[in-house]
Amino acid sequence: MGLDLRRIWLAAAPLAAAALLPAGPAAAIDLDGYYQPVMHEDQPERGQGPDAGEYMGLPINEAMRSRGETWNGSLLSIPERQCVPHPATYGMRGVGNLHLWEVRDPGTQELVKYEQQIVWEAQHREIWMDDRPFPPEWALHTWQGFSKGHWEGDVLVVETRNLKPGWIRRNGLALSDKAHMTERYIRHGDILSHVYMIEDPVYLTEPMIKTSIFRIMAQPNMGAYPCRPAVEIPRPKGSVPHNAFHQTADIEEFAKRYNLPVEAVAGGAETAMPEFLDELAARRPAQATKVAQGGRK
Amino acid sequence: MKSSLLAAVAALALAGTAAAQPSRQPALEDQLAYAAQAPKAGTFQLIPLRVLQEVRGQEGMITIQNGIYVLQGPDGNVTVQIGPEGSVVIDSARKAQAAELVAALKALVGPHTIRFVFTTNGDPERAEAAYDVRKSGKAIFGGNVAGQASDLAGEAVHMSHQAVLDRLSGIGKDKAVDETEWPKETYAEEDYDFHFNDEGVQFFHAPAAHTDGDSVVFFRRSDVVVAGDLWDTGAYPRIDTAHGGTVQGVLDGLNHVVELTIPGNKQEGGTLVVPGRGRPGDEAEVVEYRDMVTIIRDRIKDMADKGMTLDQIKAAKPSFDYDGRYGSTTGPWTTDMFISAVYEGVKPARPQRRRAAR
Repeated sequence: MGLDLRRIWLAAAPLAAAALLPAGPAAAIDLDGYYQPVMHEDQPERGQGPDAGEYMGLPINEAMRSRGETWNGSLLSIPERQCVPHPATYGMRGVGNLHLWEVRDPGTQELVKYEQQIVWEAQHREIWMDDRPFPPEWALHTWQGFSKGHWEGDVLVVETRNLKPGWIRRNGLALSDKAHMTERYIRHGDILSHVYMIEDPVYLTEPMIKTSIFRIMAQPNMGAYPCRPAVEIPRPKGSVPHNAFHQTADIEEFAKRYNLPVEAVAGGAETAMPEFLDELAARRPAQATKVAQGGRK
Repeated sequence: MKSSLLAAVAALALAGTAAAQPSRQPALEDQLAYAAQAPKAGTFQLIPLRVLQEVRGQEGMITIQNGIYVLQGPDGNVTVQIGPEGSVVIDSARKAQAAELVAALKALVGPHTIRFVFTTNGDPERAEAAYDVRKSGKAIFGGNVAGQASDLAGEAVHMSHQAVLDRLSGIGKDKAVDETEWPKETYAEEDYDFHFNDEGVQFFHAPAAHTDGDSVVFFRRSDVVVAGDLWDTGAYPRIDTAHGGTVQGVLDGLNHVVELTIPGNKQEGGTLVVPGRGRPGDEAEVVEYRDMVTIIRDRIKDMADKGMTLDQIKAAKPSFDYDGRYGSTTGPWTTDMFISAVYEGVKPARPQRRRAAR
């Protein structure tokens, strides 16, 4: 009886192929590439940046709102603030191309980490895939924090802790160093969807969830971002630009410009819900109706 | 005999090239490299900021670069510089933990005998604990003459700013601690320095800050600043107005710390700063804290200038948007006490009464 070599080959082929595959957590899809942000969603925030005093739909508490009211854009002109990059909790919302690439152990070809670079202020992140432990609370907190990733089907899920005090929006909505973030990277062909959820026991009443879209680029495009701070506006030593306590001018100005109720502009978890329009209608019937109809002056 | 703790740390330092070679974020990588291994000895958590670099020579281990470590305890941080000439200890937690601290220090410094103990402010409990630490060390003093000089025999030199000694010795008042616990060497000027373990160590007086005797310590080569009780990563700054503390002094001190620090790329890492309590950080985190104190000071001053009383100011909750991070309604330092202390420093001066002409 002769050997059926074809059958043996068919049976052995998957095993041979499996032996050639790298061990460790398998990347379900290939995320490597250069991406350009697609600004169709939340363009005013992701492009030129949000207006001062615009907090609509964000689950902020009173303390966070006060931090926003107190914030003054001139703060960014003091030398110690000029070269601060967006933290991980905001970087994907900002401008600039995104580069994602995997790093494998050259010997074992195990996936060690993903690295990520965003051009503005050279935001560089490492997403560890080797299940190393999170650093303890006493370890240095950083703008990008410490991130660990794992695959859930075709979705890369990333947990980030050990963050510096940061922000969730470029208009002074602060985030404490107690915050942590969960992200999901989902790729559909040329489109990368990024979903992130931030929890902060100090400044958020419930998790804040946002999505952003990126499109793969045909050519690599990533510039350097050197930054050296300098005194641009001479001020007395120790000056910290800020608005007066309970200064609501920014909120009121934004509300007036877009003919929106101040209560909605001031944010809070309830302002993200459709029922909020009913509440407004009960409080201020005429204005709420106008908002519901998308009407402007 | 080298302690097992120090041997473990040194072995890790030699085994891993990450800590030995310059990197983009050396501070972070140092910390992360040792995160899982850093031991907790009872109350105190060991935090390696700059890891001791040693190589084995013909006569045993040779120190080639100093290490800066923090022993993080519930009542304050203890910073330790370890090098070939011995060790320098900055602050000493509290008397209740002194025995445990001494044991942890012995394990940490191993053969690098404690030569100096420095106290960054005049809190009596710090001086009491410093007594135990200095007794566990030995000053560098001339050979067998040391045995004849009772003051220096078999103990480290306890140093501070002169205002600390004035307070502890109770000039014009009752002394705060026993004479044996007073610092033995002081500086009375704005600053003081010496060279130890192949690096410059600078001491800067931060007048009228937490108390009237605060010091900021700068290890120049190691690039580490010890801010003492000017910075607490978990609470508002403790301002001891009864002993010369003021909010403006705290802010001046924090601004000086910001001047001393040089951050790394993208305002991260670089010079590291050790707070009096809490976790070490870099310039950006000190800036965040400085900004918070400045903003609250400005609010309270604005209210005081408008004629509001302290009770009215407290009712207005001028710190409420930071209370979730730094505030407390219980314990030795509450939000209420902080607001009172700030108000004390910014309230309008009472108009001088004219004496009636006779």
